[in-house]
Amino acid sequence: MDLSKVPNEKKLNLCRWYFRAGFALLPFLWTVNAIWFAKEAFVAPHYEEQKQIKKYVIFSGIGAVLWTIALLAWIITFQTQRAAWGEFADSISYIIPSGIP
Amino acid sequence: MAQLLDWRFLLLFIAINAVSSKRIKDMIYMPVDGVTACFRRHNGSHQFGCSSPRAGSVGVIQLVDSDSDIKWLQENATAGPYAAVLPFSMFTRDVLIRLRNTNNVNGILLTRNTTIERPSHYSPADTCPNRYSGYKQCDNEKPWNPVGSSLLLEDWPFPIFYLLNDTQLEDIKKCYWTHNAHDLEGQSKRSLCALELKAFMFAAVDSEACIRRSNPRLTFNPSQFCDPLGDRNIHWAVAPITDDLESVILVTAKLDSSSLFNDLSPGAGGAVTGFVTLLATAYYLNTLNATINKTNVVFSLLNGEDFDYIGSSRFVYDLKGGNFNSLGGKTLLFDQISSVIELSQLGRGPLYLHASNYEDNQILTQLQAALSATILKDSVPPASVQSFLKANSNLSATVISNYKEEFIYRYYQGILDDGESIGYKRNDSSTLASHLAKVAINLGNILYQNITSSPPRSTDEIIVEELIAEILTCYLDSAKCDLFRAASAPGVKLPSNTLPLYVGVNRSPVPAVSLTWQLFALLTGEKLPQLNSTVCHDKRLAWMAGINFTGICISSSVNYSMAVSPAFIIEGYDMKSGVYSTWTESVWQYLSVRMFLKPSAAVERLSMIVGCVVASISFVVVWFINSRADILFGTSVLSSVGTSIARDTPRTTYQ
Repeated sequence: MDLSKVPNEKKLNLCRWYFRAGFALLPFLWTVNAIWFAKEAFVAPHYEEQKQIKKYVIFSGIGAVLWTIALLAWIITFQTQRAAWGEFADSISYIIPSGIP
Repeated sequence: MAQLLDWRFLLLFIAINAVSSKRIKDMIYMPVDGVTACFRRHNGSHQFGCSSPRAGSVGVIQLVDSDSDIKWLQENATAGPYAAVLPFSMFTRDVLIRLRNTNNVNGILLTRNTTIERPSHYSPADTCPNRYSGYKQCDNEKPWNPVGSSLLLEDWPFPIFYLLNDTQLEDIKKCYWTHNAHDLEGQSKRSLCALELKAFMFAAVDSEACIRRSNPRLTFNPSQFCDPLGDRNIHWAVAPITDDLESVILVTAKLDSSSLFNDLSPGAGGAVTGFVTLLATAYYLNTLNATINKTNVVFSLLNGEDFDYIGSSRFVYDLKGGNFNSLGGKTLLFDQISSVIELSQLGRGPLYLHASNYEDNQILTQLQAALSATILKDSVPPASVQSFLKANSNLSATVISNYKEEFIYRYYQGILDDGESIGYKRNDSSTLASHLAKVAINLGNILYQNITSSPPRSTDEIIVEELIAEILTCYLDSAKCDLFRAASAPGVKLPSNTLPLYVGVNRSPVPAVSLTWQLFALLTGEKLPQLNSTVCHDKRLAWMAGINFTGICISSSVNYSMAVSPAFIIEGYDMKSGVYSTWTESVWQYLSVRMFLKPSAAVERLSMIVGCVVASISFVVVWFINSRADILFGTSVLSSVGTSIARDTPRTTYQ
């Protein structure tokens, strides 16, 4: 969708709903929101809804970053500690690699 | 005219090539068949054996014939990793550890020149076999198996293969001499002959982890990582077990052997001499036709004994739990067993009786006199009696063997534990059979005397000796022998090699065990010549070819019992407790070896760079052509108009 052709209130509506939907454990939606509306929020010439869009973009961005940090931390911990955790790690694994601890 | 002919030939050449196409894979690789691989096993706390990475490990071939070759690998080798091709003389613990420590060896191919004399000893077992599971601790200063190298109890980081095919060894050596052997310093600058060894093992860590992971879980990809070791024990009672039975004399022998390599565990000295004597004793006692009063004799062939006494520990577990009813459906209890006599390694030379709690046991004194054997008081060798003594340390237990304080046999377990090592030769009325017959007949007579309280009738002893000689042929020379043929259904094809005696995993029955059961049934069962094959099958009796191969119905009371460690049937058993055997074997998919010419590192780099360059250029070219498509292809005006209309459509919707 080409945002430049969308009326402003529709933009705000879209941005708001992307932000709200992100709370359903959908960090990628926040990431998309932050990137997609970044130009509208910070670069585009001023218009009425821009302030609100900016708010949603910033919060989406913060949310996405927090998620990234949390996920990265978990992935690194799990991948490095899986073998050491033994039975617990197996019980939370979906696929168990063969031939290695 | 000549030109025209050439042209036609060229066409013909292309056509033939196209039809008889050879796959690129076959042009690159030469498969090395006739190999057996080292594989991975686990116990409750460790992993043992070998594994390669999933895609196999590739190593440049290096023949290691002497110490200087190992030194070269340690210090000067530049084109690594290497695949070391070892002759049997170099296959020692010391060499393998040194090769492992170079971190430059990616695989080992063991070869053996059958014309060269075998080494003076080779036993990959521990110096104290079943060190941690016995009743009586083994003395490290005076171990039972002093030549044991413990190769079986080591976790090797590379695959190890054993090549049996001499012509393929020649191919490998030829490739090595042509490509690798000259100018060793400059090896890294040229193409080298290499081996790809594939033996990827699925299991890891220990039995507990791999059994847990093999259990069905809430996933869509259930997979098997390992299986418990185990097979079947074989039992036969001289007379049916009755309710007024007072005591049982148990005669046992172990049925299995093991080695580092898949499908190769002949177990001649470690198992065959013992259990063949047991079979002959059972046959002999059966011919004596004893009337049983209060005491019965049960013959048991125990399986998986090399892996912490799987068979005997399960047997004892079932007896103690009142779950042993393999003998005619009657329950036999542990307390009914009055004494255990085990037939261990036997052969020429003096015999020894390792006896525990024998003070008021007249069998032992009779045995000593008859076999002119030496009694070793309270000596408990690594044998099945350990399991029985563990359950009741006051049980009278005797092990008949040809060793005193240590095994005199130098090839215990492993691939060299074959007929040649115990001095067996086919069609040689060898002294081995007569020595074993002596044990069988004397033991049979003494058992007869003890259960009937009357002296045995004199019998033709030569029959027993001949029988032993024939059974030995089946286990030591080739399974395609008269006795196995007689003990199988008519027309069954038997393998011509010697049967491997490795216990294997519990879900695939071992052919050697089935054939031994059949042979046992043939030797001790009742022949019913009046029944034909249909009636025989209907009555659930065994239909066998018989001695004259015409087919005979055998009614036999020889029966199996499970030989799977109690560790795997006790709910919530602690695998690290060390009470029962916890051995498991990993699952694998491929075991294969291929040889190919590995290009030098420089060529490999060049291929990579050229590939990358070609890929990037192709992107640029495609982009360029795409952007100039109108000019290059002179596209019709219509289509470009079409696209512009298509592009414009959404705009109108939003504006």
